[in-house]
Amino acid sequence: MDEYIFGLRSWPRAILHIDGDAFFTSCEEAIHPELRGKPLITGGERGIVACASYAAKRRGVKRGVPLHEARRLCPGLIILPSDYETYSLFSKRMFDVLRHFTPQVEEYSIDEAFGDITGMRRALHSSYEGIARTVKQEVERELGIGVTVGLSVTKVLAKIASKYRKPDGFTAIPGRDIASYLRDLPVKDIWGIGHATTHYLSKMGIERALDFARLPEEMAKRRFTKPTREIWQELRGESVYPVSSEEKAAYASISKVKTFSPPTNDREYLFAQLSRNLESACIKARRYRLAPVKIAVLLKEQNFHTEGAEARLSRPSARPLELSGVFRGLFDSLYRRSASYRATGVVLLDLIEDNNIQYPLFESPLRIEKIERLYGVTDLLAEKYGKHTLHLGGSHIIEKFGKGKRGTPTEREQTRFRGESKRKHLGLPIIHVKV
Amino acid sequence: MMEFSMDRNLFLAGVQRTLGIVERKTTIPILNNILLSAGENKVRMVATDREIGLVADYEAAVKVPGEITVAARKLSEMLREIEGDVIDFKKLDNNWVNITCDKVAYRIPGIPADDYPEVVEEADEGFFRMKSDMFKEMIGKTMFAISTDEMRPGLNGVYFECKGGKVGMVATDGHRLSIVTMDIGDEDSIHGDMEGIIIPRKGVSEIRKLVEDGNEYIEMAIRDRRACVFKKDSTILRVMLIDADYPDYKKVMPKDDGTDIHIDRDKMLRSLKRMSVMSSERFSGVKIEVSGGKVHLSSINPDVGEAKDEIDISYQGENMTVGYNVRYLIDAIDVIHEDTISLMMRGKEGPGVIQPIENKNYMCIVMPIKLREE
Repeated sequence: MDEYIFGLRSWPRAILHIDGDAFFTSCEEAIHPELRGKPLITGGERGIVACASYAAKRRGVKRGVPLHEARRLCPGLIILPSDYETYSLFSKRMFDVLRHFTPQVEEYSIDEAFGDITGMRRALHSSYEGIARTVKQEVERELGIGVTVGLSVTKVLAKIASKYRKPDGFTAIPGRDIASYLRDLPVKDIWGIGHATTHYLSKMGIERALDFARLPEEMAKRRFTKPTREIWQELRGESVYPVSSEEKAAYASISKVKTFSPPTNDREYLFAQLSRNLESACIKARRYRLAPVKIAVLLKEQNFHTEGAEARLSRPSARPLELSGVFRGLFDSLYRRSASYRATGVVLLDLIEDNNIQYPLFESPLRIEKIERLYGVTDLLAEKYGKHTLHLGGSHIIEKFGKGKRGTPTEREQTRFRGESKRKHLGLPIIHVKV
Repeated sequence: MMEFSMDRNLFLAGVQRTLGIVERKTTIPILNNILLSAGENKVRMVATDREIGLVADYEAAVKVPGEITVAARKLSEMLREIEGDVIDFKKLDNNWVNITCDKVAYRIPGIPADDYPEVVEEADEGFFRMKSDMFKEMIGKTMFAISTDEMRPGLNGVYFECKGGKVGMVATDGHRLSIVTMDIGDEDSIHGDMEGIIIPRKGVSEIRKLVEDGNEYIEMAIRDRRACVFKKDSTILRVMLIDADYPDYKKVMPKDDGTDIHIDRDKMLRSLKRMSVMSSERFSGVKIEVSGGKVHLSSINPDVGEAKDEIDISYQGENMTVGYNVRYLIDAIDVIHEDTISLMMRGKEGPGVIQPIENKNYMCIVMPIKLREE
């Protein structure tokens, strides 16, 4: 028992965090039972490891490693192309299972969700630990994939709980046990604490989560900005982040970063990769009717050195054609011929609602209208025939080289049921049983 | 060594005059400083950010001539807090500075003057004279429209030109454009035409301070189209110009007619301000609808709420509904002194023009916004 106690009540709230174990490869193992337990990775089409199964991880294969490196580390490695269609079907089902236990579910990412089960004990005839364990069992039984569940009194602590024992873990941190879980946890491993805050805390002599959580309130108020203060509260067992079941409507920024392999210094190819990121980010922005005030561009070199540049737009817009001048300028300011790049990224910043178009003086309003209509059509075509059906000339060369169509297509792509087309599939994962 | 005594108020005013120029955030510490050099019965204060330079002489009792640079902001704070009449300023050999007045004593480190960026000594030629009021008026009517768009450096300043007996200023951010022209008076000594120059925003606001205090006239000179220089009494302000093209603003000045409404300036301004309560960072639209002898104003912001108002007007032309950025309309009308203004609307995509009806020397062109709710 720790001498420091943050809360006397064990469960003022009960929030669970569910996290898929090596989610993509787990899904593959679920639909290809013969692959279970074998060293396996996805990401074949990108030339780098997107997700490695635990068997592969044990042999040293990590996320982000180039394929040739992964093959060297692990002879006999099974390399699969990413089958996002199947993964998102599994993801949706995982969330649905969680929804059997509580309606308050926040889909945090493709393989992670929060569920607030406060007050559900009587309805489900079980303790909170019991409910959380049942969630884990049900997901594993229904989907055939492994998950880890963390249970605690706030989102930040639930996330610490699920990280505590993984894979196939279950950890519950009730209010009175908080301190013992924070004692040895480095502050950088706390959800929401980034580089800058870690360094700042380190300057204050704070390396462990417990030291951070134990700071007196007055000091936390004086020394930290609101986001950091909220994490401090969450660590102490005061729930400030709600589990929000609504779909995310407001984004502060949207970023798209993509790694490719092999690294390249080909100017056209790099610019095409970058343009594709811009298009993807803009698609998302348009879906939420948002437009950036600023855009940033980053190029990551093979040695992980990253250079970035940003620019303020004369008029917020999420239509790549209108951004291309500024965009090209940013790229040119960063690109060096001698460098070899492994990733490019685009960030749309200071997003505002794209409700009103301010017409410009020195360009024709007609052109703006035309571009707007063009992207209306682009989005329609994307709905019907898939994303990027209509795209910038600048990104066209990745359609020809390595836009993920290198290597073999996924099983799902090769299989067509009656009535299915290339773009229209039944919303069901296909389980491949070899008899 | 260096030593002088100076009137506290004069010293404070002199230092405060430099605060807009010395940099706030700079990696070069000396640019936070002002240069003080004591000569014969005067102390010269020099401030620069390397784009703008200010040189001003002030009367002082100089005991030992010399020069030193000190942190401008700290110096002004010290002088402000001192209550006495005369300040004694003394630089020691180790470049520390003692500032004393009666029992109060401050001691701060200075940086030797040798490291201070050079501010060009101005020759006394090539100046022409203009009414300060006129210049101030022109700045007031344009400055608000200056762009902050880094991608279009040319728009980050005021365009100033002199042609056919008139001086003019233009500013635009690409969405609205403000333009003012004035007749050159008999007393003004501008002669001939002058090609347009672009004065950067920071320079414009320093010039405004200079024309605001006192003198009836200000003297101006252009140096090699790279800098403009303003002179008043013993103060000289030198501003580096923006080296970029200015857009052909005459091309966007509308020629065709639209719906022209005449409206009381105060009424319209107050109504627009009522609409702007609905504005937020994300939205600042106002819908202007002209019909049935009235102008109907409305603003709907999903995050905040709705506002409506109407004003009786006289107008010529067809009924019309156009959306504008309410801030742009307020800015444009706010600087008009005349009682009645004209707003000429040219449909949902055409430029709107605001000007006083009695005085065609000023106009502000405002492009509409397309309101999605329509």
